[in-house]
Amino acid sequence: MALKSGGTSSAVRMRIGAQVALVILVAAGCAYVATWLAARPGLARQFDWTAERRNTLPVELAEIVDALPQRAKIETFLRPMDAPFTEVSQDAIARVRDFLFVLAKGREDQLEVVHWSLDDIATAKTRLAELDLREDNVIVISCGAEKTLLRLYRDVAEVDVGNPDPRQFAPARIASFRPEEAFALALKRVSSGAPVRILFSSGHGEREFAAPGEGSLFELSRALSVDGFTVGAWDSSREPDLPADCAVLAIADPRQAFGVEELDAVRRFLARGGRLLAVPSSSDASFAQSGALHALLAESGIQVSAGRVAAPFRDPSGAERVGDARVATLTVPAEGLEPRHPVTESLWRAKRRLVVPSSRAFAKSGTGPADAAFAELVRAPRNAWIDRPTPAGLYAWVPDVESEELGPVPLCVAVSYLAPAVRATADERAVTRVLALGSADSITDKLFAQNGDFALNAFNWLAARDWRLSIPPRSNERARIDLAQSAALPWFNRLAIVGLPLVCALLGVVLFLRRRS
Amino acid sequence: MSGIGTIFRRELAGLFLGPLAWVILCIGLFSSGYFFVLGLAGTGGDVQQALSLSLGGGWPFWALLIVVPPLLTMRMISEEARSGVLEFLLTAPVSDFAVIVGKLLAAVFFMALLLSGVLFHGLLLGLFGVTPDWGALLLGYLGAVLASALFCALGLVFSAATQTPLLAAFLAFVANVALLTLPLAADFFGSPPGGALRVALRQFDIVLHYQGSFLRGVLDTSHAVFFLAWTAFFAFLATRFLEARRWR
Repeated sequence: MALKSGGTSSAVRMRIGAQVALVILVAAGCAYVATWLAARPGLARQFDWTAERRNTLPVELAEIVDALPQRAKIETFLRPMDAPFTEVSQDAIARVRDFLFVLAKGREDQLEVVHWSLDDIATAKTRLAELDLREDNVIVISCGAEKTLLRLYRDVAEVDVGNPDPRQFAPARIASFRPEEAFALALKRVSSGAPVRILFSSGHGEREFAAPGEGSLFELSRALSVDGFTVGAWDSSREPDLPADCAVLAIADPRQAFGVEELDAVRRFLARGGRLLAVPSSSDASFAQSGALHALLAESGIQVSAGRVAAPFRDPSGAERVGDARVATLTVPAEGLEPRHPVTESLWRAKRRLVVPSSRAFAKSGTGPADAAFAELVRAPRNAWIDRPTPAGLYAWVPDVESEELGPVPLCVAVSYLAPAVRATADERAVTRVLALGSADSITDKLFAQNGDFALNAFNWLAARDWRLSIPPRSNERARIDLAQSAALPWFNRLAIVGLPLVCALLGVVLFLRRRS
Repeated sequence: MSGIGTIFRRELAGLFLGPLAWVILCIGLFSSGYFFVLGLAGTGGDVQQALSLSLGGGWPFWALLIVVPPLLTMRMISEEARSGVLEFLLTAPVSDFAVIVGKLLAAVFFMALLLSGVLFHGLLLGLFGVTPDWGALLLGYLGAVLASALFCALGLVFSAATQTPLLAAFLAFVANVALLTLPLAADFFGSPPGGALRVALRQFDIVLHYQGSFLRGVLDTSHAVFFLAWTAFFAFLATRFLEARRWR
């Protein structure tokens, strides 16, 4: 290196400067590469140090995520509720985001999580409209063409509304939080293959499902589409046999009898493991016709009773009343729901009520398959009765102890049995499922807000999208210190804010004085 | 290694024999205690949330990290160069790297002491019968120390690069703010979610690296490597600046 007397030449300085710059660049590159390499999925390691392993996914859920056929997308549309539930809803939202962070962490290839901010309402609304959603506090999970929906306060969290009475005040709180199970089921649902096709029968005066209206099933069909089903119509006059890809057939309140060939088509469908949602006719005239739906149901072990289920209602003074048509609108509390069946279990757990107007009653018939499993899903209140019409077709709406059945009669039943056609081939995987619902009105647009979850559960069970997964939820309780009851806060003030800094200051002063002396 | 140890002890003695360290320690512990109690009252006694607010879950922690390391490191090289002490140090039988690492370790040790208030708060809670999640708390603390090491190393770069301590502290402060707010540039340039700029800047998101692992109670090797690698880079850069002083 040529050095001039009195210092280095500018060329040498430049060269050295360039070398140093290069070395620094290489060092920065090394740091970047080290960071990049360390973040590679194969190289990154995570060790959960939390006491409850809060950051570790349950094995069942991790396996489902790892087995996803393609990248799934989770979109959240969450917004805190108005007072007095603002705090509890914020807590629920924070927990969901926290859970999704853990779920997606290190699984960027399998999961994409998008939190739509409802503060930027225009953008979020556009996306909600694209998804055909009209509500918030929902989470949409999609994988390829399939998608499903989780409702924050139904599927993921349950909120105890507390007690607003100032004398016995209890704040609203999260009663249970089960995201592991909810997301595991949802991801399994969307990764199970092609979308499930549901067909509503038409041509017999059934309930409308393609257009909105008070007696229409439009909201139900829309919700089914949002939940990832493909919804269509089956018109037997155009298509005598049910299509092979039809998973669930819904016959809702037919006013005209089915023909022999049509019933045979439904029988063949059930025999090959098809699923049927049947709502018998609400018209007494058509109920009595031959070829009515109840004849078909009897073959599956379900007997439909003539008449309507009624129960005393309370007038504004609180007195129980009978004698007018209001007795036919039943409110079924959680106690009337079957706690062990997939259709009603979540509703029973959430203490939900169903409103069931003008319902038929069911019973187990002895004419069904020998292996049929019969379940009563919804039962009328204990003081109910089956009000039978007079020969003129009129109802008295008063219980007749002598001739009418009293008690908690079933309003919805479910039957499952090994599909006869499949049984012959010894393939034990296909099971026929039939769900009979006594009231078409209970799932119409008018009552969809009340009973929609029940209807969706019913279709999910029929379509076998009700995989039972039991992932124990983590403890819902957080370590808390009771600031109101204990004397902790003043002590924290003294020790943390004053004590520790004071000790520091004293040490500094002592050291300073010792140095001086 | 012995050189590093000697420098480390010398720096610590220098720190604690002066008033600045005690003043910083006193103010730091006071603010940490204040925000802990405030967090506890604000969350209705939620222990974990209050502790995480005292750590990197709240802005006071990050304010501490951008302010204190420049104050600590400003005098470590810059002041010594001005007073002529550095001349003796550079002629001592220790490498420039050992000088930087020794000083860095001393600064990090001080930061560890400053941040240890949160462990004291954990102990206090234990006294009142509420056991915090110690695994998560210790990891949060460890991550906080790692993050502070990064800021201390950056402070040393400016201390080695400038002649006046105040200028070093100011430049380090500005650099810390820039480093911390770098990911916000994606918003400034209107990068959409998942956009290239946003993804690239997320690699340097210190808050995310800390909150996404340590604060949650997860020891994620990728985040630990991030802090260690960039601390090492800044220490290397500071060494080069120190070395450059020989050429002046």
